[in-house]
Amino acid sequence: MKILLNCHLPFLLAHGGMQIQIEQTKAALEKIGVDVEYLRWWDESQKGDILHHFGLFDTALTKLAHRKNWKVAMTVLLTAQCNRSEREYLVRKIPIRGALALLPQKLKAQLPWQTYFECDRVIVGLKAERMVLEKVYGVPGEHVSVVPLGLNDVFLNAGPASRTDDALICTGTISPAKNSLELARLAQAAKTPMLFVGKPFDLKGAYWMEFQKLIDGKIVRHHSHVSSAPELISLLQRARGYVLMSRAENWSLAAHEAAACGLPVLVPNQRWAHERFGERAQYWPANGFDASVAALRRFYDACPQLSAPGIRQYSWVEVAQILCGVYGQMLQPAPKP
Amino acid sequence: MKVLFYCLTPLALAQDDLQSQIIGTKEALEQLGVEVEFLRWYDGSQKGDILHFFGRMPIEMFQQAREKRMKIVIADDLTEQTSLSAAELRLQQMAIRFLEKAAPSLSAGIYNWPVYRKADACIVSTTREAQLMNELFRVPKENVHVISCGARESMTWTDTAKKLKALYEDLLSSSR
Repeated sequence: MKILLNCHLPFLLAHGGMQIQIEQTKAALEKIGVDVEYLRWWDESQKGDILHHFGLFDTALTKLAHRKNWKVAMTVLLTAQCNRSEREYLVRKIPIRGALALLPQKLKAQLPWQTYFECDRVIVGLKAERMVLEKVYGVPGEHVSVVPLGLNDVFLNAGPASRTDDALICTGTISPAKNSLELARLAQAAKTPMLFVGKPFDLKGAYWMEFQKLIDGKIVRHHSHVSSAPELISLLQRARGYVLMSRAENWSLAAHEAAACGLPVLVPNQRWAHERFGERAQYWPANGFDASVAALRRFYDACPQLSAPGIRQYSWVEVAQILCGVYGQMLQPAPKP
Repeated sequence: MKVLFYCLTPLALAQDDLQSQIIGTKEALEQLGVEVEFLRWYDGSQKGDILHFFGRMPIEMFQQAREKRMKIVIADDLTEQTSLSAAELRLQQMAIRFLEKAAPSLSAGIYNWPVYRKADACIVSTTREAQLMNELFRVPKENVHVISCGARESMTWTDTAKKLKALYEDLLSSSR
């Protein structure tokens, strides 16, 4: 069995969770003895049994892969979709199902969602994402596999945190998607020291310029990106608690790292967070600046009494073993009708 | 000047003409001294000044390349459109205009039409395709370049590469 991993979005343009997921998946698959390579798009002689694509793989490309007898697995992130309300699902379901049922074949083939049906397996990290695929797009449940994201062993074995610093911590790129600016303003209003750890998404961008103005070294502190896991673990374990205020996430490796390092977490009141952390996390209020300031202050004050959410975490090797089972199913001959 | 070639269709799955277009162009450019690399999607440390994309580039990728301040060249063929009748073309043009007005972000996210308009340069093989780039996708005429691909063994690959090299140099000098 030879697996070819692929992703359309080059790492040189975007660093983030997807890159970690792909690199760690490859390393873990290799560790358990699976023959795995990155797909070299320019290499016409490259061979494989399963093309495991991260992101949406075009319907036409899936058909080409099938012609070559490659099976196609697709790991998709339904980050925004899995956090919507029931009403929003209904509003989306009607035009999507309508388009899939009524459009002529030629136009339908161009719809990105068509690929959910063409590929051999859709892989998601959360049950909430599988629910979206089933409910909104009508993808059969057996066509979807839920495979969790893993954590690096150094985080899993981090041990108890000292939590001696007076500041909360927020890790991740300084960007609008992470609401870094808004969080810094909330920290100032709540007078809760907050250490931001992460590179700006764009060093010359206006967002980073604005963020820089808020850094005072007292309430809003900034530590540029750390490249080694032990350094990050050390920062996390000294912090008072972990705060995440992203617009949308579908798993959040960063929040899982913080939990593994022994920190209580304050996370967005979204479906992904409830699925992963349940009652063991603190949640932001739905909206309102004043309510958020109060929630942040409450979390800050309560942190010394709060414990880390003791949720089930997976190593990347465990993830690779689950994936291996999915690959095995995909390569089994289809049952005769 | 460093140019990165990228295409979402793996050449192992592609038809021969796309393979020869990409590989032939790369070899010819290298012979003229232009540094060209295939974009290794898994290599976060790879660098480039120009992203030369074959096909219709996804808008998300386009925006991220822009944020990295790369020049973007899109080479696409409109073979399908060139075979349409005038009435069919008119219909397609109306459908594009309607969707771009009625649901701009949805249509951009699905069909990625705006990338042609926003790219630093679009490359097509024939004057008819250049005309269609302008009529269908409203790409300014000065941004559309007719550069046909040479046959691999003949001298025309060098002609293709010379035109491309001049285009790259133009794009980079205009940004200085």
